[in-house]
Amino acid sequence: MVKLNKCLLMVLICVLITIPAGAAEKTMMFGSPYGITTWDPSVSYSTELTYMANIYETLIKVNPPGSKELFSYVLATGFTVSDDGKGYTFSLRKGVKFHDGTPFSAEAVKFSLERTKKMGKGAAFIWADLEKIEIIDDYTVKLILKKPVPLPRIAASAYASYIMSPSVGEKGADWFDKGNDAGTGPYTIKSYKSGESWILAKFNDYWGGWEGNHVENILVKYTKEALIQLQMLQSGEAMLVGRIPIDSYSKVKTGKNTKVVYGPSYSNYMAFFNTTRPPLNKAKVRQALAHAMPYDAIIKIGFDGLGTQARGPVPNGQFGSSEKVIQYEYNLEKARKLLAEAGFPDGGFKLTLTHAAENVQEKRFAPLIQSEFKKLGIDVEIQSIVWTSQWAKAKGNPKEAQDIFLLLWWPTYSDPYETLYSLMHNEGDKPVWNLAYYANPAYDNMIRKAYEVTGSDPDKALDLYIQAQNMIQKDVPVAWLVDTVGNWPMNKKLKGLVINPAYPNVPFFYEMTIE
Amino acid sequence: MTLFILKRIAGLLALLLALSVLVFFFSRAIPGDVAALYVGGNAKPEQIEQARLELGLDKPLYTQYLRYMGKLFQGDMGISLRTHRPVLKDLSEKIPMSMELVLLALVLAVLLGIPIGGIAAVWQGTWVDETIKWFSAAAVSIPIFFLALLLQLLFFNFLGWFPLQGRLDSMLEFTHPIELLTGFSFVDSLVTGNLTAFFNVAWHMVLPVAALTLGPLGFIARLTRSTLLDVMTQDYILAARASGISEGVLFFRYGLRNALSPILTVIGLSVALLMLNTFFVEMIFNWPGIGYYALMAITSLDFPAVMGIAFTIGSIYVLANTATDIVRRVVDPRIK
Repeated sequence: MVKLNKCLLMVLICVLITIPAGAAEKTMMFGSPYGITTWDPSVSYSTELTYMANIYETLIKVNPPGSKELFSYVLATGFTVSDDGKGYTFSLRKGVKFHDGTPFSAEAVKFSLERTKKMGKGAAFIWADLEKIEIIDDYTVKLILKKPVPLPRIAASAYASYIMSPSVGEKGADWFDKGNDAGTGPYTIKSYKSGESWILAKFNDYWGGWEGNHVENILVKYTKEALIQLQMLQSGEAMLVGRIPIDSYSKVKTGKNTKVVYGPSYSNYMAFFNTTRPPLNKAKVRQALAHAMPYDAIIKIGFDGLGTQARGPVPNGQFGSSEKVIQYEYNLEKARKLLAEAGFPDGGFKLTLTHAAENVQEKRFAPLIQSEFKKLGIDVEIQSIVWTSQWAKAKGNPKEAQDIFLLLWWPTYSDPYETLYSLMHNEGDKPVWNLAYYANPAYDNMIRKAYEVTGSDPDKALDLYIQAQNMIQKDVPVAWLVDTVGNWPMNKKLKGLVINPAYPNVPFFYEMTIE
Repeated sequence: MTLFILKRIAGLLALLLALSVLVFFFSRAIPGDVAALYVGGNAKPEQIEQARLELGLDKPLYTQYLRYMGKLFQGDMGISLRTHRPVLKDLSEKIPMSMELVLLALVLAVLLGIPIGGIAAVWQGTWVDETIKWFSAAAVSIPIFFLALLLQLLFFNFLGWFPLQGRLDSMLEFTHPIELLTGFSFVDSLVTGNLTAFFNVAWHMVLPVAALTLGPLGFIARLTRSTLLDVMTQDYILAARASGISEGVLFFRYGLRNALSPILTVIGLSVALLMLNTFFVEMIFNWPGIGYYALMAITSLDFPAVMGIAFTIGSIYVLANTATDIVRRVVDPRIK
């Protein structure tokens, strides 16, 4: 059977490759740096998202910033909220089939979300406040919450919210990791060679239909090397690639056959200050350092100009970001003044800064921070260490940890709570992500309150989030450096790719055509 | 002979045991939270704790070691923290890819190195000898990563004769995928009659194999030359020559055979050198073998994979040396 499938597949590919001239091309190669940790949609919490979001679907989807509506409906066609904000009733789309032929229904929703929650792996934590799921009828399902948290954002999460066929039953990681899937999405996994290559092919019975010139087959060639991806793109072998060397963007942007599509991103870079020991335990010193960060130069050198200065913790465009959040500007005079007020008129202290050695951007901009701080009489020792060690060191004893920690972060789902909670709520003596070791009970309470009123009163939630962020901006446990820009280098023939920051590094192939 | 082999095997086991202790405790001394890495993403504290229990990382280190070794004897190397697949499965796919390069390079180094050394010995002192001497000195001393880049520059950038990197053209991976039988892409593509892939793999192999071959080739050529010269001035050769045996017979039957023992030792050592060099070559040529896998495992602190790699490479190395010793004994019965 396996053999037969392989033969069919070869025939399919040969046919696809020799399609007659004039017919629209529907097969493309994708040189991808995004590998597979697991194909299990309940567990997936890593770079396989790039494909998962093309194979599986959620009830609803967050639209890119600037869209008219906040959400669009995918497997749901609408929802209503109870007055207390704890009951969400979703009406479901009819006529949808899973890739295994099972019809989609309320039972599948209940099965999928309960499976994910019960397994407790990956991003399952997003369902912590889900009490139970009731099937009203075949196409209506009610989700009941313990607390009135913003369920639509959770249901639209990029991770842990996918609906899968109940036929998955007790099938475990083994079944999935052979390259099987059970989604409703436009594509299904046709073949999978771990660590090398895989093929996504169109699912004929996709509910959205195949009218028009949608891309139908995606051959994924996995490679981590940016240079190889650049070569694949320039030689015309690949239609789309994920990562090219930073200094080659200008060439690709203006290439004869290549272009770069840019879009918003919710990934941001930050610098944690160790608030547990002198001199960074003084807020004034931290404020001074936030003023000494050469934001523009960091963007120019570290990101080849692609990015904007971060305002606060919540990336620009995401719910919770606002012009009302205080922003620090680069101003050495102010920094000097603040340092003097804190008792360090000529600096005169030493700081260690750690960054992940494999992060090219951090490697490029860390020395800029060093040279600016030097102007204030502060010596910075840069420690470039592999991420695993950088993080482990920071999670040990805060008193012996680094002074400044550079981090790249992105939210799991499109709500500010996770970022604000993970990065700055009090984690006591076992820090995981709060690497400033910051503790502020008033802040902790405020963000939790904001989270719980988001569903019923988003304006109030936004107001609370702004207040909480300004609390942070006065204390400055973290300096917010750069909101990044999403980008996809590709062949000029490829059209229709829209970057949606709620789903990082996901090219939605169904929306794309090849001219 | 049996006793000899048994002794060697006992020594081999002791060596591997020592290796396992070293690698296990060293790899765990590196700072890094294994459980957090296993969970991935923006892991939450509770999940990290759960993973710690699941992976048995809450137990003392020596308990973890004993448990690891117990499983190892049952053929279980654990689950890779990075790929989330059994390490043994990963290795069984990656090692043949590397061995393909290593074995081919070894065969070439021997088949070319011995005649080249022989030629230099026969024409000792002439320009032929001088040229070979310079060539082999250069071959031995040039760093492998530099050589690999040099080959890329020359044969890809300037001449465009060979591909820059990879094992197979990306497109062929989809149109003519190599079915996995032995893991040796050469064998697998040939057995399944996939000639397109076979020739494509061969074409991709030229530069990495050339980079690997050159070092051991120089090594073997130099040694062959000096050993041969040494043997050819022995008394019994003089006596044989005096008794009118032709130069050809003299050279091949008496000279080369007696020079073989030290050359065999060098071949054994070459395996070790090649295993090491393939790490660099695979990185530069993006060859999906054990070297590339090892680098990824080390940088992501995937310690079950690191253990597995150290163990397997260590075993190959020790086995190669043992095999060399046995062959030497067969060739030269004087060795005790």
